[in-house]
Amino acid sequence: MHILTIGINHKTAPVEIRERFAFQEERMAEALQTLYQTKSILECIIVSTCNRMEIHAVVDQLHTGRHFIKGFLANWFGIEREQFEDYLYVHENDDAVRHLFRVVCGLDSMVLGETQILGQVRDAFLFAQEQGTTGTIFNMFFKQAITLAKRARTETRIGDNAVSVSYAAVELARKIFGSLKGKKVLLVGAGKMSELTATHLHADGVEQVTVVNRTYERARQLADKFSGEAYGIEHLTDVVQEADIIISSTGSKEYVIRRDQLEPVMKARRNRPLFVIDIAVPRDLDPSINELENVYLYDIDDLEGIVDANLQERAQEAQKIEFMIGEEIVAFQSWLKTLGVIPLITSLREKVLDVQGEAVRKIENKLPELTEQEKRIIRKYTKSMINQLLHDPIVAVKELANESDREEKLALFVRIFALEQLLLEKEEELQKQQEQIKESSPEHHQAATVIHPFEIPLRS
Amino acid sequence: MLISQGWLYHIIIYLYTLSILFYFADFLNSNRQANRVAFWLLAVVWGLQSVFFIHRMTIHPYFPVMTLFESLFFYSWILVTLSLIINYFFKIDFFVFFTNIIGFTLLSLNLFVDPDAPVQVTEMLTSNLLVIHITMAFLSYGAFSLSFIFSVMYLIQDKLLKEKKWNHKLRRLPSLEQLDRYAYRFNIIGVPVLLLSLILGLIWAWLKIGGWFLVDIKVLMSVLVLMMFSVYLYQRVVTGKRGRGLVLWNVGAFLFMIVNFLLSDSVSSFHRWF
Repeated sequence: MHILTIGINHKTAPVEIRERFAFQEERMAEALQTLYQTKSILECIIVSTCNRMEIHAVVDQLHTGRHFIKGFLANWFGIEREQFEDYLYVHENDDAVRHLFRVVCGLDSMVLGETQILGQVRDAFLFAQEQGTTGTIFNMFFKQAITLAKRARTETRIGDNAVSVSYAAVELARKIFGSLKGKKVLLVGAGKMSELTATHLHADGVEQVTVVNRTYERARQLADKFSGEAYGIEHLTDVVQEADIIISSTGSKEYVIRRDQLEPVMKARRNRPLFVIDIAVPRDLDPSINELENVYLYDIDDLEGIVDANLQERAQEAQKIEFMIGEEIVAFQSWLKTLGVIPLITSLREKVLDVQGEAVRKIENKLPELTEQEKRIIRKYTKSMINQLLHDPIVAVKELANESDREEKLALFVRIFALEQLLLEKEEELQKQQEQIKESSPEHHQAATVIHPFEIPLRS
Repeated sequence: MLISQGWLYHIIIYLYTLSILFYFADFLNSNRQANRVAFWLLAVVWGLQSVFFIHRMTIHPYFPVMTLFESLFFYSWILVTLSLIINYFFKIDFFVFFTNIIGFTLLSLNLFVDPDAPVQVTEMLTSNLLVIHITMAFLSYGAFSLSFIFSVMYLIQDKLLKEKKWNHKLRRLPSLEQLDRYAYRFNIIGVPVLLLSLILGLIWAWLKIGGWFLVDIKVLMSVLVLMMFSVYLYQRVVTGKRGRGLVLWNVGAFLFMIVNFLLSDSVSSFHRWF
């Protein structure tokens, strides 16, 4: 049994390829069920977003799993296998585990550390769970991944700071004013960039947006989007006094606001801080404005500098998360290995309980005069004896599962307790169960993966 | 008994040092774990300080703020208490660190002061009025200290913003607006408490000493301190003024208060502790 991930993302394929591999939401259930009915697939989850499409599956054999998943993709999207094979990435076992952990933490995303992907993976997992295409392994694996991603967010600062120019402006505004509620923004010039920044500020609580532009109509259009006021450029000096944040992006070749214009404004404001953003090139605002007390002037380079610094910070935090991922992989492997010995433990218990049951029956036959209470006592104490005897071997076999030469040791364990026959019967029975599950209707799907006795998962 | 007190004092100092060092590590490298350890160490320091204080209360027949040693200890205890409370409710990065640098300095300076110096004011002169006068004075000092720290944080933040140094210190500092608001709030607490303390002190002096105390340098400087802080409040509330200049004024007023506290004791005719 192996974990296999096959997918495409923004790094491996251009958008014209990615868009052809987008699963439609309304057909997702059908896709999952088709995939699940495919040979070799034991559990499966499909993650489909605008930047990535990934199929996560538990398969019985890697090469057949790979083959059938690619076949499924070719059929579902009606594209020849040769046309897309080069864009696919394939991760197996430990690599697949590491890959999912990195994806949910946002380390594989276009914008490092973004959080949207966590929600998308969680939704995909819950949907697959609903559809019954997940089982013991993925239920554990995906839950662990989601918990890890949440932990990464709280224990590191990966998502703390803005990584786009317009958000950097918002972040600065918050650094100066705290809450933006009730603050007033003045847009000088009606460019795209200032509109975007104003939109973010507006979403963050800024209530009043005033637009000043060379052509009044354009100012009016933009102001209407925020239900704000619009003025021609000749009114600039009048409205500048009211603003807490000024965003300038005109095409003017001269300074639109000079230092000597702003000096009296600051006096009238009683020195309340003023945040001035200049995103025009050439610059709109006299750089010496920044020398005025309580005025904070940032131009486009300053904002980009902040974005760079934040990205560097994220990269540093990402290192910490990679370290956390390493630990999680070990934990998951250890769980998987213990999962492999469960059939051994259940077989051993069954065998010993059979012996005990047989012995009790014989005692009851030979001593028919025993009262019910006496029989109960005999049953209770023989069972307790068995439990005590089995305790140490069970603990030991769980430990063996994590040792390097586990296969030999587990084989020895099976031989000592003569469990071969029992395990064989179990395996046949489970295979039958699995076939039945696959044949039955999708609504009745239960946990899909059947842990084969004596199989050690994730053999590489 | 005194030996055990000395031991306790030293343990407090050691733990306090450790806590400050952990806070410093967090200040330098943004280490959350160090911050947590520092916080818990500080909580233990607070507990031990309280034990020390209560113990002293039980062995002396008065509220222990009467000697220089006791009052410095009380001052540092107020700072630790306030910083823990504020940290619990608001979680302001660096604030606890800065506050406790002052608290720690006070406690360390106190090592040079004789803990068993006798109370200078004769028993005849002590009264509840005097105890309340001193306690309130130190409470106002505590409030002004916090106001000062928020102001210093404001100035740091202002400088970083002006120079566009977008580093992790700037990221962790609260907004200018918030720093300004907290500085103002603690000022608003400090001014009336100091005013009451001065009035009570005057009443006490009137009753016990007589009229000549008004020319005492400590009394005059304390009135001046009160006026400086009041000017800050007036500017902010009545004229609506804000910004760096006003914050600088607040810092200046605090520094003047410290000078008043440290120097004028030695020249005051009746505020003598050592």
